[in-house]
Amino acid sequence: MSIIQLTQARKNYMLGKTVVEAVKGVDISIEAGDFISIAGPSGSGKSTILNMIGLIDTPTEGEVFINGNPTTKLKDRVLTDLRHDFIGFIFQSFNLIPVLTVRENIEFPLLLGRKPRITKETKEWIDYLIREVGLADHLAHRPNELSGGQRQRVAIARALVTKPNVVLADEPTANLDSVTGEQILSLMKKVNRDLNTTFIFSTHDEKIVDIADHIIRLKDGLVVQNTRRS
Amino acid sequence: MIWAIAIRNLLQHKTKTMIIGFLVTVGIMLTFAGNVLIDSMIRNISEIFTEYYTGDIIIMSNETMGGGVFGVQSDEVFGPPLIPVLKDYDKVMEKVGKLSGIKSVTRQLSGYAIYNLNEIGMDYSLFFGIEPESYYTAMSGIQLVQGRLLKPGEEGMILEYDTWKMFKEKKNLDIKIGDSIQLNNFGTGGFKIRDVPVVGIFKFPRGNDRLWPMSFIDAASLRYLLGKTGGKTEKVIVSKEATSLLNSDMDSLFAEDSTGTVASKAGAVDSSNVFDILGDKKTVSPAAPVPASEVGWHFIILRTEKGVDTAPIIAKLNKEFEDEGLMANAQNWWVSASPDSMIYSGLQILFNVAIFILAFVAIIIIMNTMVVSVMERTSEIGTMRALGAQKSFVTKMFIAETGFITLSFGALGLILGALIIWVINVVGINTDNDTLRYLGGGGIIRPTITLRPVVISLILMGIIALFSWIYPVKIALKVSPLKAITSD
Repeated sequence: MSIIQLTQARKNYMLGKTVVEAVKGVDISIEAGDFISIAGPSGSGKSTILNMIGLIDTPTEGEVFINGNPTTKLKDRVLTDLRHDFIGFIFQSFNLIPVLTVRENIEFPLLLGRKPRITKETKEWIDYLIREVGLADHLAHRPNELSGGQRQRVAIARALVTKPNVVLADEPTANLDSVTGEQILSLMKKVNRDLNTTFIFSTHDEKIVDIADHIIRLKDGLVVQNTRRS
Repeated sequence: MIWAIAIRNLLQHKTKTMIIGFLVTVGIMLTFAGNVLIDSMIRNISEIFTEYYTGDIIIMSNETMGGGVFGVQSDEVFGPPLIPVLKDYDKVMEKVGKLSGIKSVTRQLSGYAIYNLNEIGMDYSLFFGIEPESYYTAMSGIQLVQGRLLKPGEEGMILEYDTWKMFKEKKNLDIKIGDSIQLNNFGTGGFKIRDVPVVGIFKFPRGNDRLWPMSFIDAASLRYLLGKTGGKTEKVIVSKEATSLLNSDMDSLFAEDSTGTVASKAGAVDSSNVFDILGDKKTVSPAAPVPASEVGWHFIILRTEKGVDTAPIIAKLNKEFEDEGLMANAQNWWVSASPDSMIYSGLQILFNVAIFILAFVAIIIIMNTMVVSVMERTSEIGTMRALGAQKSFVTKMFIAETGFITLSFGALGLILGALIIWVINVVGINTDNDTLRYLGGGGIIRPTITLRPVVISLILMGIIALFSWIYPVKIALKVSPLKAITSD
């Protein structure tokens, strides 16, 4: 069974009085452990699809299934819990909380769930993630004291701290230089292999497309390529 | 973590925090210091009234409510304020005797009479007719300037210092201890005249011009002047000179010409000698001793033991009076001092209304500032929501921010307010301005902190903290997780 499935998903926006069809009915199935690249030019609908998968936007028509369960009729509270438990987010602009330190930013999602607490086990997990992303020397720093690459590493650790099934990354290398971008991609690929975490990227970056094992290309709100590498 | 985020956000946005903090600090400081000052004034005036005029509880006739020891000005009759006699005196005293927590009891008459200073003129004044043996035990506020206090059963008066000074300075009449002053009254009991010796001169240490100037007189003399003899015929020995008036030319007294010209006729009676003849003290004996229950008193004044709450005693007495149909009413100083005490109520209400308007404005400003803060942080709020923060988390975060800012700056306001009060207490507010002296209850105002202003300030802080987050949170909750992606 697919971990995530979109069936005939459509999304329309109002731009003034004009209806813009951002996504025109797409069917996508994502399996556990996939390393997926959703590629396409600007305006092709890749961010919209990522938002629908991430349960922060709902389709105008169609359905988004998480582990086979429909989500479009769910209430905000349930959707929020699902996002917390099931999905990790990595944003293009990092979106760290400016007043929190590196460690606090990473811990933050653990304080949000239905049972917000930090146990010995979670502390060890946080320490492991910090080591993996190479930020052990920057724990007390605030985001504005870090470079772009360091910020994105914090964002990756934060996305993984709740051990989500799926990590959504919206153009994660767009604001990074090429060397840092490659390091970040390697890190995510390692996590994908080690933890079998599903990674879904929206990207223009062909380097990401090259390392993905499932490529979905969009054009004008429609899927034009959906291929898996063996 | 919520508190950490809230406090760090406030520190990060220092200007906004300082604007809100300044408003809260000033508001709480004014509320606290103002209420302490007003309370101190009320406490001052309360002490003055209870020590000088009304005791802790005063029982009077229920025929005229309010007015207390000063009486109530009649709407219909031009003349001195009316003070009805306390009927059912014995039954009321019986109830008083059964009360617990009462330290001392005295009874008193109040009435207005005229100082007849012959050619110097006349002056209208209030007198407290007292029973020295019980009065000085119950009411220890007076300060003797000259002479001594009245002895039990003695006829005499203790003249009020300002009145004595006024006679001396404005009328050039230097009254000495042992001198007699003629008092007249045209009350319901008819025309009364009495020469009363001055045994002492006193002042109230904390009095002021706005408070009623009154002198003490033995109750028997005042009772005579007021014509209140309990319905019994008073034994009066009339001199031959007085009875000879009956044979004089009475027309001369009511002649159309001025009395001055008519007075020259031998044996005639006129306004210049009628008081001399009728008012000869030697010819009129003191009022015959009549049992108190029969002659009547205006007031029964009770002093309670320290710390005793007078409200339940007053309520108990009034219920008993009502149940048994007694024409009496028990009051505390506040009611008896009406309408003077109402000035303080009004002042207190006005001040706190002004403060609550200020609080309302503060809430609006805090709301607006917080809304701006929400707008600047839509990406942060959106990120939190995307990461799994429920709406309740966002709400708590903003409540923590407004709560922290209100409580911390409110506490600062309280400390500054307390500091101001401490300084005023050390320095003292002393003024020659009579209105300020009156508002201050006389003497130097040295405010002290009590629980009530603290509670009012805490309530105000609570109101600000409780309402200022509502609108910003409403805006914050509209922030979609999508803002994490679409905003920077």
